[in-house]
Amino acid sequence: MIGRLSKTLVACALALIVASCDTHTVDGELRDLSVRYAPPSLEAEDGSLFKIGSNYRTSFNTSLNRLRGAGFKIISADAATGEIRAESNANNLITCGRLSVGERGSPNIFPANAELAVIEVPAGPGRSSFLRRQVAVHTTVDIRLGVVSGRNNAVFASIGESHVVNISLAQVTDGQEVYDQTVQFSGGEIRRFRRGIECGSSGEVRAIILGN
Amino acid sequence: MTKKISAWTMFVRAFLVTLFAGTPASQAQQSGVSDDDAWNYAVTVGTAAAVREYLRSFPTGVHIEDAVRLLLNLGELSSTGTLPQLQITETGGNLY
Repeated sequence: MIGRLSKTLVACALALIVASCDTHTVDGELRDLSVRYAPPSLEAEDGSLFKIGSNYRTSFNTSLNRLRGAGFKIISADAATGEIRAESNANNLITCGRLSVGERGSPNIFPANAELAVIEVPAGPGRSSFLRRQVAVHTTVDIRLGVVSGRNNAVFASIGESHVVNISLAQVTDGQEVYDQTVQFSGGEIRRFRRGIECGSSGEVRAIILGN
Repeated sequence: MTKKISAWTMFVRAFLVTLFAGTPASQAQQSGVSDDDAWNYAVTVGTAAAVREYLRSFPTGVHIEDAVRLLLNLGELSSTGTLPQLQITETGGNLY
């Protein structure tokens, strides 16, 4: 009898411990699900001249090779005019700040230009669900090489960027779209999406061309 | 007597499973647990709660599509999520 009573008391104690644990497993406990956003710090520039070498032919070929090495597809390249056009779908060519999702006190932070994320959102009182967030980027780069006389025939490059960025959010359950917007901006611009996300060039294109 | 011991064992087991399934993976992430380790942990535990914790802790993780598929198969994602308001901080502000 006493043994049975002590087991009952231990069971009650364990039940109390479980009840007091913050297990983070019950949807009803998610009271402060939020999405916070820190915009990027950008000093965008576009079309500026950058010294890239001292030999025109070598600089032209090096630029092509560096673009190819970074995954760019060369659309056109004319050594006579010094013009190169290339495109890429890499997300790291832009920056959009950082997103923080989850409960206050234990947020998970990730770049807002991440190609794919699954974020937890409210789904009615005491419930949560998940949305699939996708960012698609298409970048076109126009480079023009030229030799500036009087400066030891240094080869300069003018780099122009054009980014088309799409951000979409959809239910993970049935794929129903809840947000979709596309914006376009040059390397010298910062564009703001309706929901507040700001994107601009990350400077990666210039770094690729300069071999940094 | 055998039946009572068995029931007791089951209770303790249920207690331990509940406790560990609810261990916040974000705590694990903060302590340096990798994406793969967290996913393996979630799969090993095998509960919807553990898979949800993986998604909470690794929103851009390499196993997020598998996690969503698993939750859908378990019938744990039937509700429709709403789009929360974006709380914007200062440029380069602290998100914590």
